[in-house]
Amino acid sequence: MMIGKKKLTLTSAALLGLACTFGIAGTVSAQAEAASSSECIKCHTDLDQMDAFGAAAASSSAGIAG
Amino acid sequence: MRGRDTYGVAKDFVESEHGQIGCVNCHKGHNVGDKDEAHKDMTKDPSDEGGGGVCAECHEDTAASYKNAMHYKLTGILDIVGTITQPHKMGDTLLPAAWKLDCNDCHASCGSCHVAWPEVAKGGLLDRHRFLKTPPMEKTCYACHGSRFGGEYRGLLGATADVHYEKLQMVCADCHTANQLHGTKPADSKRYYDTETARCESCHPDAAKSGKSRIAMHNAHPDGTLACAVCHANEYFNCANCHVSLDIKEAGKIKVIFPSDPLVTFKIGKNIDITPNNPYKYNLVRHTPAKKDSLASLTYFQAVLTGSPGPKDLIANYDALPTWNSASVHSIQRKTKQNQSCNACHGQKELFLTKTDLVPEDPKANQKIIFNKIPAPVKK
Repeated sequence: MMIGKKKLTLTSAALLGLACTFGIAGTVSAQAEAASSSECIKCHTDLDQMDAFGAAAASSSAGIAG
Repeated sequence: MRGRDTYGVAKDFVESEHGQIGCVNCHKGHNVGDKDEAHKDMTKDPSDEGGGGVCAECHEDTAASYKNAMHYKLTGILDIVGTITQPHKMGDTLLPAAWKLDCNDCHASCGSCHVAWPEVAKGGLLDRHRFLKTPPMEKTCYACHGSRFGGEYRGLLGATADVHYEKLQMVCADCHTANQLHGTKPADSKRYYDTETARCESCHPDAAKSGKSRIAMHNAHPDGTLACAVCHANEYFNCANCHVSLDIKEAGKIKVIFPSDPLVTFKIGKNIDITPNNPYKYNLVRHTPAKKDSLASLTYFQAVLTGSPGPKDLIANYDALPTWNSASVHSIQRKTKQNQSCNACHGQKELFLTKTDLVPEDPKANQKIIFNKIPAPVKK
């Protein structure tokens, strides 16, 4: 019975560890991915600047659809 | 801003699951401050290639199905163009180029519904690059289906709006489910041959039980006789002639013109596309905007661009397909002019497509759609 409980505790701890490791690793990895586009993000999240470009493009009318 | 959100990206998108993938991982280009260098080798729509592009990496099942979907392949249009231009070979004409430049704009990638306006509406982000699970119908569906479906559904064209919009504000995706839009079964089938499309009886199962209905008119018409819209649609919009033509009367001055005459009608015709999902003997028919010389401009351009004119009769097989075709009219109402009584429809000549609706230039195939004899008035 003791062995069973110990096994269960160890398994739970191992699973918790795995979840933490992969969870953190996943976040770190995603942050790294986003960081690889830091310059793009810096420009494209400047909405005033982007809207100034957009206003010019939007002045041309939409296409004709069926 | 005025107009359309075209380039700006929301900060909350950058922090979202899709945003954390990083721009260059989908769009390529370079993570540098210089604009030109940053955009070099960039892919504007990374979701297009092969029916899913980069989306396929996570959304495998949807992409596998979407690569064969009508919205991706435009199977119906290809089939029609291929049929009416026989026996000409596409390679001998400018059709492949015209397809790339124009027709193909209606082709939809994942991004052109869930992230950006479709190409035919000149693109631009829908909502600061946020991914929208249900595409907003006014901006995406109506970019291609706006003038007729969108117009009649909202009551901007024809007699009334559709009851599903008027009373319930239903959007396209309420009937046309994601699974249906993301796939076409069987693969490569055309619209009315697709076995998984929206069905009225999915929500109105009792209405379809001819012989067991509470409604006398439903019982009077055997299953498979009339499409629901024949009794429940109002007048709808048609385009009479061709989509686009060119005014080239004066050398060097080419003007694109849209000569289609608007035509608001209600016409019941014979259904020649009888399929499991369109099994009705009679359906509403809408005029297809085509004429025998609809593609004449391509012949002109072929001569100008290549020095050798293409086939003079580009639509050589014009007679093969009708210009009145089964329609999915989106102006549904419970009570309509024609369903007030038996004789509000029976004996009413103007409701039926007959030879008086055709013109001499029409394709021969139109003869298969018309009523030679309309249903006689019902004697009480």
